[in-house]
Amino acid sequence: MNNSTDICQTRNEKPSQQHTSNTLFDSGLPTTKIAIVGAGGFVGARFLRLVRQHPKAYGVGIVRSAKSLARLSNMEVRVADTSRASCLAGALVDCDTVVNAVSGDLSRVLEETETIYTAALAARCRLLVHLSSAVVFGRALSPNIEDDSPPDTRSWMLYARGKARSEVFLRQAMSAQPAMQVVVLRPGLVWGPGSHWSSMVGEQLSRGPVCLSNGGRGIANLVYVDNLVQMILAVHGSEGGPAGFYNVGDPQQVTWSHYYQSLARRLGYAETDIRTWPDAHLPLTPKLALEWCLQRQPLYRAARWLLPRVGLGFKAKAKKIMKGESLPPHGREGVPTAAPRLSREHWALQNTAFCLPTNKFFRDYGPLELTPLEDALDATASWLRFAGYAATGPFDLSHLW
Amino acid sequence: MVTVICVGCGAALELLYRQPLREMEKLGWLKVHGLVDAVEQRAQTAAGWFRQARGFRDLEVAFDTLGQTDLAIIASPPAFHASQAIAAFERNCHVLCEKPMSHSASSAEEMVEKARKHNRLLAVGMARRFYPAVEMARSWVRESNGSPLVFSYREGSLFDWPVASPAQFRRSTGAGGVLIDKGIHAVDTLYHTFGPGRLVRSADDAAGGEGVESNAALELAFCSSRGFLQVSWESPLNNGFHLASEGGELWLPLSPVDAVWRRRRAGGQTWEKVKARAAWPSNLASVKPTMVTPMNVFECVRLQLVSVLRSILLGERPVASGDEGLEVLRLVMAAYEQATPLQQPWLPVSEQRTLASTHWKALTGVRAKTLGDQPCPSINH
Repeated sequence: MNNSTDICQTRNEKPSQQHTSNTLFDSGLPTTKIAIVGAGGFVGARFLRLVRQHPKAYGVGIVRSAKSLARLSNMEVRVADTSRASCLAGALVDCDTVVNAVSGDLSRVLEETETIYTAALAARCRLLVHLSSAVVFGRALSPNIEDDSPPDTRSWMLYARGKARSEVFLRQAMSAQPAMQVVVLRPGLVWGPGSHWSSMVGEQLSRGPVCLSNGGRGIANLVYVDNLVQMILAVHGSEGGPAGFYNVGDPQQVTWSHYYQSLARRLGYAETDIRTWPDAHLPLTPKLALEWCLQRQPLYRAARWLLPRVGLGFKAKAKKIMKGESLPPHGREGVPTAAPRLSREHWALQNTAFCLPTNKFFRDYGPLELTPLEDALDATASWLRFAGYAATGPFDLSHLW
Repeated sequence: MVTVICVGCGAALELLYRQPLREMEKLGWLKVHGLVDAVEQRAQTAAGWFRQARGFRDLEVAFDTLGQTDLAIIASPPAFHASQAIAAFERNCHVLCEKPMSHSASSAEEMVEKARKHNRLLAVGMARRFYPAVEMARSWVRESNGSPLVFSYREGSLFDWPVASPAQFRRSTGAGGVLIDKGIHAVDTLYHTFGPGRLVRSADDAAGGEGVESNAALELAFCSSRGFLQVSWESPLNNGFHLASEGGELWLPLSPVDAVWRRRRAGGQTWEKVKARAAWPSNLASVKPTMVTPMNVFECVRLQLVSVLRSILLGERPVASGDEGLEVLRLVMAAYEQATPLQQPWLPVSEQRTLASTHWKALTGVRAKTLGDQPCPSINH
């Protein structure tokens, strides 16, 4: 059943749930409800699917609009206005744990965090797991960054500023209101089947040779989506575990070159399809200047207001300028003769200097049986083949049947 | 002047039809005099967009109140299309019905029969037929003179249509998921490009009960072409419509609507970008109408409306007729009928087992069949 419910109108009905035994999720706790706010997103949707296999936890998705139900068919989902704490509290009322996985309006990250915190408190939830981001430490230029290091609230990125300010708010809230446990998890790039950070690799490879900035040596602070879900469940399952801030990531340190090469090899591309360029700085271009402008809150909000009002034609043109023209399969050729043209965000990611330490999380909530890197790469490559990104070309349908 | 009733005042009317209807009203080609929606507030709001329109909750009341109406534009949820279209035909009204034509092949057949019985036009909203790139693909296929072709058609993105209710995501009200929504455009594009075809096999990821699929894959065979279609509401795929023959390849990104890339196999691997230039009448002149090449989806919807008005006023054949809409719907319904669980080998084994055992076909006890027994057209890659 698609158990979608408008929380302000009708009562949801509890669907029958298959509780498949899974050693990874075994725990002695009674069945408890976990609500995930932002269930229509990549992490939220995967969380709801995986939690169905959990013998002692029951997942409830919270979304702000009906369109998010498209990928959540057959899940228990409640539609609630996540910008109003009172409405959201109604949706959370029977839940033990609330996970904040909202990813929407970049200019409202702090407000949404405040609303979810207030609603969870009003609904007397036991635990709030807030998904922050490793981006609060920018390019991680120091090896001394720790879980409790202060986040960069003045980052050039609107999203990073919002996440950093949310952390500041939650740190104050933790000390002022101990009635609810708050755990902040700081994942890096969440990858895996269906992730943007994985389809991006397939998309680029299928168009021709790829060129990585910084000689491909930059650290890809990755966390496999199923591993992130397990970390959230570990926090949920650890009754009375410590509150606080935690960097979370895959156990292995991976460079961008390794990430691309590993997926490319599995998809059948040649090693030479991944090139590197030893650039050290970001060249200034009009497109990057426009990107920078859109990271200013008033301009971003103006653009968001404008976009639905300008029509599809203008939207298509703007998209073409920002993302570039769609190229046919193997449509990009040649050996790179200049630094790759990356967005500022991608350049910053490929120029990340250090891996964030995750020892504190595993000390407090581990050890966990996580998906090993090689298995995660296999699974992701399998999905990329399904999505049509194998080197064998677009007519290969062997992966579908 | 053509008098118009719009049935269903949701996002399709607001985002696709409102602007061209207002423009055509100003030109004196038509008059929107009724807006019908089960939610009265929506009908009243929509009535405010037009000069002399009134909002109604009930279609019969609207017909009774407004008198003779020439055209009903049906953009309500698919489960209501058939009954509303039949009501319109019985009032001697022509119909432009948004896709999908209906939620079942039998009700769509009834729509076609009633249109024929009342000698009324039944056109289906398939704006992609006006994409210049699709028209170029049709020409390319025609020029291949029946030589074997293979194709792949992939279209995936996170669902982003501003629906007002979850009805579309329940089997009882939406009839299906991504296949009947996004997929029907794709099947229609293939049908329009290659001609009548048949389903070879299909798979989807819908769970039992009220679940609908967010991923679907179909293998299809047309006259001398064979290939597959894959659609997703969940994530991007390697999107595009790709055709190949011994003589060359064509690739349509489908956005923008006029972009086409082609290459000759014999001439190496270099793709050449081509601007498709197909044009359609953009006014109601019976002689030498102004021809326009659409540049975006909005313009395609506008030209589709012009085509429907020309069919009513000048007797021209609609670009997407009810008969063709029915054929396309039959292909989609066959895909649902034959659906097997979609293979998802990237998932943990236990999850794959659970999904296979809870697939909607497994739960309803319908055994899926594979129809494909003919070899693919052979092409040397």
